Amino acid sequence: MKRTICLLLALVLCVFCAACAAKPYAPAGAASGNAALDEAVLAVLQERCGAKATEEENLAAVYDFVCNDITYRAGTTDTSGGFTDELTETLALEILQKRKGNCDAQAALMAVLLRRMGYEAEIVQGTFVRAGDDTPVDHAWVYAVVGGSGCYFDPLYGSHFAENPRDYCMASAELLRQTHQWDE
Amino acid sequence: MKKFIVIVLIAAALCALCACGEASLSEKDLSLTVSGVSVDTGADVAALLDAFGDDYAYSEAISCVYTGMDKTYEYPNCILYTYPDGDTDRLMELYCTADVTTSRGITIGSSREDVEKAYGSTYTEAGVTLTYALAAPDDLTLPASIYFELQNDTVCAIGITSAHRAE
Repeated sequence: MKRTICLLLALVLCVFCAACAAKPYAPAGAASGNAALDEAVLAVLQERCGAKATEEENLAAVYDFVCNDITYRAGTTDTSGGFTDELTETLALEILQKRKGNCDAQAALMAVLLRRMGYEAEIVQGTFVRAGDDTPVDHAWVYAVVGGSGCYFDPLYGSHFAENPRDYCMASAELLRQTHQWDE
Repeated sequence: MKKFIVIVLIAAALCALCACGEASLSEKDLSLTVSGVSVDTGADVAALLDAFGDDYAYSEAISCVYTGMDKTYEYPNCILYTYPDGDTDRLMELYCTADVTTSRGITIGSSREDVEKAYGSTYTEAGVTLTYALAAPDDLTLPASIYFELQNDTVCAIGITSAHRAE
């Protein structure tokens, strides 16, 4: 009788623990269809995002990943024709595999991550200027719709030029216009 | 009790000996021989271009991060990335896909196991890359490193990066 009670208690405990175990983050967006990219994207999202975290926390976590885990490296990709889906996916996969890339690749990665999370995201091509230098620098960053409002993500600019890198996570157009130029 | 102390001491000695098996990384370990040319992380860019020759595709763009131009020199078996430091172009990275050997004997086609035997287990693994880095001299400087890109656990590319400021 005692043994039976102990076994039942152990079973109840196991069921309880299983129920409480953290469920992995399940992104709301559709996969791209590129198997290698989808696998790599999902791995990053499930590593960095939490099923119980808020929307802002998950967006910040993904932004921080691009800021902190990707090293700048000059690139030679021709983006004069814009960012097609194929180009975006190619850049995103390469930067996920090699963890190095320029602004085009970082913007592609940011866009792909946001889309997989379920947000409308597009890459913006424009320029920025540094403090004390009015030479415009060709640049790319991301515009996304979060909570019904448009906002910007520029992890490269945030991590290299901003006092607080997070200022360029879900940034307003007003903030960006201080240093960036682009056609709406 | 005595037996227990002896066992603990032997175990500790074995652990210490195991740790001694992994030689720590130094600057001289971050060197490559590429097409017969010896390259280290402090290499002079002009001298490298002289040594590698003119068979490269050149591209440049205003750097997103540094003040000046980022430049790349793409050879058939390697790519040289430079960054501007005032009026000087400095080596940021050399990325090689063929005809390359490290100072510890790793080459294209070496296995992951070969890499770990040669360099130890103190690497950072991200994506398809195993990176062995020196300590960064300060918080604003990215450390010098050697890295191995793997495909199916086989080395498909080898690169070195110099210590450089993350502007």
